[in-house]
Amino acid sequence: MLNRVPFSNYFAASDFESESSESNNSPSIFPFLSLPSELKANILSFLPSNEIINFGSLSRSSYELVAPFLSDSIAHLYEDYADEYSIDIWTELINRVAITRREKIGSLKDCKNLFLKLFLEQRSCRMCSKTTPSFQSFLSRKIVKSCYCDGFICRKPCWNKERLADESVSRCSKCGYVYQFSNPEKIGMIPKVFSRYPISSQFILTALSSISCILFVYSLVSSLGYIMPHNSQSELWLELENFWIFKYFPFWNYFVNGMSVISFIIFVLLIIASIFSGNVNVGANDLGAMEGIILIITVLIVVATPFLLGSYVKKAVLEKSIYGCPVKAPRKHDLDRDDHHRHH
Amino acid sequence: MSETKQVELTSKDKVSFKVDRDVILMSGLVKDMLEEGDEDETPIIPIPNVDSKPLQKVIEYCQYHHKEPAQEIEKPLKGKIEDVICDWDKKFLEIDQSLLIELIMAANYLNIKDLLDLTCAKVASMIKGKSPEQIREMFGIENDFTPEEEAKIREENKWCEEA
Repeated sequence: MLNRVPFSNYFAASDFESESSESNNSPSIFPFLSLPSELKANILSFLPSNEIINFGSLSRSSYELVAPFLSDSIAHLYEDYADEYSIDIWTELINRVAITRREKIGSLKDCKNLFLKLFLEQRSCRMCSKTTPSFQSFLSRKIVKSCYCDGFICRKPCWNKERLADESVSRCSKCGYVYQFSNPEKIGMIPKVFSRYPISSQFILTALSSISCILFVYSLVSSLGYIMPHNSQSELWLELENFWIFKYFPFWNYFVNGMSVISFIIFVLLIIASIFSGNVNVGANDLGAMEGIILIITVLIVVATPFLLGSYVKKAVLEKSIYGCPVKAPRKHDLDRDDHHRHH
Repeated sequence: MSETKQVELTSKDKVSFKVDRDVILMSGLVKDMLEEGDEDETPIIPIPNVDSKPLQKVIEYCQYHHKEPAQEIEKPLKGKIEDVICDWDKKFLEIDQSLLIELIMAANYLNIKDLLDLTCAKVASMIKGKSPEQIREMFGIENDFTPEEEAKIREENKWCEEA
C-alpha cells in the first residue's frame, strides 16, 4: 500500500501546487495532475516500459516522475535477459546506446558488464551533472536495510540520486524511513585481489582466504615437527604445533567473523583428517600430508565460492544497490510489519 | 439471532453510512481505528478527507468484494483493463473522471489496496496506447522541454525502446 497522506497534506506538496494550477486552468481535462506523485507513480506502474518512456517525454515533471521507472526497466532488462540474450543481441543493444568510446568486447560477460556500466554512467544527473560513483563505491554504499515502499523512494531534487546508495540520500522520501547503509570504511579491509568479485563474495573470499593463510602457516609449523630430523629440538616443534592453533584461536575467530560455520567445518575436517590418519596407522609424516589436503580443499572452496554464489550474489547486489529497495510488491507480512510500525 | 455488528462512517460533507463491520474491515485505516477504539455498539468513524459520493462507491466496492475477493491485477497491464477484471468491476468503473480520481485518493487514504489498484489500473488503461500528444491533450500537460532536452531524452530512451 502506498504511503497514505491526508488530503489536506496533498495540497501542501510543492509538486502539486504547480500542477494543480495547471489543471485548474483547464477544468475539462482529466484531473490526473491533481494526484500526488506517489499515486501517479502507482498508475504508471501498470504501464509497460515503452509507455512509461512515452509518458516521460511529455514534460519536465513527467520526466522526473518516470525516471525511477526507467531505472527499474533498465535494471529489470538486465536481470531478466542477462542469461537469455546472445552476445549478438547484447552487442547490438550496446551499439544502439550511441557509445562515444569503443571498448573491447570479447565475451558475453564483457557485454553484460559494459551494459551495466553504461546503465550506471547514464545516470548522471541532469540538474547537477553529478554522475553515479564508480560501481565499486556504488556497491560499497549499498542500502542494507530499507523500508518496503513499493519501488518508488528516495526522490530528491536531483532525481538521479534516487535509489543510489548515495550519502545524500538517507531516508525514504515517502515514508521517512532512515536507511541503513553498509559501512564504506570496511571496504578498505578487502584485499584488492578480490575486487573484481561482487561485494558480498569479497567478504566471504576474504574470510576464506584468511582461513587458508592461517591453515597454511599452521601446516608449515606443524609439518616442520615431522619433517625435521628427530633430535632434542623436535619436541619444541611438536609443542609449538599443540599450542599454536589454540594460542591464536581468538585471532582466528576475528578473521572468520560471520563465517564461524565454515571455519568450524574446516576445523572439524582437520580433526577428522588427523583421526583418520591415526586410525589407519599412517606414519607421522602423512599427518602433515593430510593437513596439506585440507589446505587444498580450503583453496578449492575459495576458488569455487564465486561460481557457487555468483548468480545469487549478483542478483542480490543489483536489487539492493540499484533499486535501493524492493521493487516488487511487498509481501503480506512486510505490509503487516509496516502497518505495525506505523501503528506504533 | 445475533445482529451483525455495524460501523458508522461519516464523510467530509457530514453524510453518515452504516456499514457491516466485517465489510469495512477491508479498509486498513478503519481496521486500525477499530482495533484502537472501544468496543462500542456502533462506533462512529469520521472520514474527514472523503466526500460522500466516493465514500459511497468505496462502501459499494467493499460490500461486493468482501464476499468475492478481487483478483490481483498484473503489472504491467497486458491488454485493456476490461480483459482482466470481472463484470462487476467493469460496471463499477463506469464513472466520470473526477469521481475516478476521488476514488483513487479515497482508496489510498482508506488503505484499500485492491480498490487502489483497480482504479489506478483503469487510469493506466486510459493512457495505454496513446501518443505523447494525445496524453498531453488528455491531461492538459504543457511541453516545457527545450528542443535540446527533447533530443537528449530521445537519445537516452532509444535503447530502451528498442529493447
